[in-house]
Amino acid sequence: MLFNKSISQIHDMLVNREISATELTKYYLKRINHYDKQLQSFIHLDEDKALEYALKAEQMFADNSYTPLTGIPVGMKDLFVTKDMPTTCGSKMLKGYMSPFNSTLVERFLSAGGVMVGKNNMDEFAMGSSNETSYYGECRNPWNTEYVPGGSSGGSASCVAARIATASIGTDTGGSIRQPASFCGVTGIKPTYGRISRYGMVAFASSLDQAGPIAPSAEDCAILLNHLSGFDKMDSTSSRMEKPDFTSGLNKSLEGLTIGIPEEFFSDQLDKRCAALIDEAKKELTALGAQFRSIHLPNLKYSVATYYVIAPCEASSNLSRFDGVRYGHRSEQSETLEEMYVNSRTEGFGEEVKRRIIVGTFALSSGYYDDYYQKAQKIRQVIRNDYLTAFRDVDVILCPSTPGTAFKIGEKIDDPISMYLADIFTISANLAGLPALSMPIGFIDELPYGLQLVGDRFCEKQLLQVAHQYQQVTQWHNKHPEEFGEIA
Amino acid sequence: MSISNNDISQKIIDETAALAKIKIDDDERLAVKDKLDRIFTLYQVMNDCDTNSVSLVDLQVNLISQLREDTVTEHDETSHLAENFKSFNAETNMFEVPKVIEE
Repeated sequence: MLFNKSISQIHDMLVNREISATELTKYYLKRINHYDKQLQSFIHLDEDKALEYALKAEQMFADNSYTPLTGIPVGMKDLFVTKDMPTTCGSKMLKGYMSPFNSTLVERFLSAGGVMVGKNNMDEFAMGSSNETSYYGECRNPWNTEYVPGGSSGGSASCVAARIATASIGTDTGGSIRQPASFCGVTGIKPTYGRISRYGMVAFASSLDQAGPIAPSAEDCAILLNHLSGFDKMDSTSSRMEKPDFTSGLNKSLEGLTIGIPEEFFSDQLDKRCAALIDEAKKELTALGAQFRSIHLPNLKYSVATYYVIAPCEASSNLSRFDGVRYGHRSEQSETLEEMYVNSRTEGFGEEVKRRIIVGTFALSSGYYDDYYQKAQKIRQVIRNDYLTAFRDVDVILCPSTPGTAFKIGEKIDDPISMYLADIFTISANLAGLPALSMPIGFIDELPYGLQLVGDRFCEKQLLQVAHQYQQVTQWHNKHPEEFGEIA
Repeated sequence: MSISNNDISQKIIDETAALAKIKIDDDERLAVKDKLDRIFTLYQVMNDCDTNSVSLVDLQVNLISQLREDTVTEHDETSHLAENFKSFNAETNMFEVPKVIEE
């Protein structure tokens, strides 16, 4: 089955002329057209443009200038600005918005010959954990379409799980790659803050946002990371740290590797059946040569509250640009400038976005700044210090990605706290700026579940190595929902 | 000072929404207040974290801004703006907004 082949397998087929980039793109477009009505994982699909990219890829094969990504059809989260396709961020505010430039990440992807088939559904402005806050309709989990795919990169994870794209690119501010990867049974990595340029990524919380790949396997993620990461002069927070070949250490043995188990992550909040799956995964890793050591991250309990102060503060500042003047929704009902600002923002933003803007505006306001924003920033440093201490003794930290499997659509949408707590295990890596990966390790009630690996700064290679070694002896990453099979 | 649920009254919500240029309809006010109350209850756990020894300067230690050369570049986006934004006036090269100053 072509749809279940890895990027490197498809690359070999393209190089050997077993299939052309155009044929491959048409194959995936057919799958999207056939299956995406029930998933809504894409907000925008551009068949003509995708075939144009495929033609360019064919030229690269003809010129011998191809890369491992050339001709590979991939979905792009709809918050990377693109010249050739609209960028909505899942919001009415940006309905039909056309950017005059490509984000650096998109530019790098296209330069490598990648085929961007369309823009993936997402929670509005990346604020959500279920993809239910999208103005363009909720995306669904292909393992059971009554369940959420997670969020905010829900469309990105859903399309990969259904194998209607070979891979996708998402973003992760508090778990938005790892949580949907866990819910959809795919592999996703949030690299170290600064590893991938944020230029042209519509900002939610600038000190936390980071882009990353979602794909069936760690190997696929490594191939994508090779082409997406690296210093960019257009992003002053991008790192000059040397970019390694992320695929080079994948086959290295885990002998001598020490994996830390933070006791605080294995509390009552974790479903016992999830804990049992993690125990099974630990046994596999032990057989591969890894050693385990118990560690402590004592301030983890503050991470959700801390994140939900810092992220709304940064969001309230970043989203102030959407005032109806230069771009975005402009209310037709306004006679004065003030009315235009208020009406445009009130009509253009959804409920969750407005709530976070109000919270952030409050926490940054005079009289409350010290108690909320400054306090949260100090706790962030405390959490970072916990990780620094932990990484003196261990190479990688292993923990759950999520407290449980995917929940039903509508189950948590009216309870923001319950929704926020779905991120409890992922948030601290963003606060500390660390790389973290989620990989599938089994099923509970026919829904997939993921395990999280957290690494020290710029140690993505180790995470990918552990995940790849695990995926060499297990088959969870190769599972796909049967109802999204080959089309006759 | 510490974080308290009393921080978020209906009056504060109204004032903050006005600052954020967001209108809360009368029929939404109770529901908005209820959800914000729950969020502010979540925040109270931060009071338990001792941060007296943490300096905000520590936060900056690992952050090095990568500055680029200050060079002149040409950006002519007039045709793009005219094509995509109906409030853009290509003749004046400006975005039009409702009148601010009365004649």
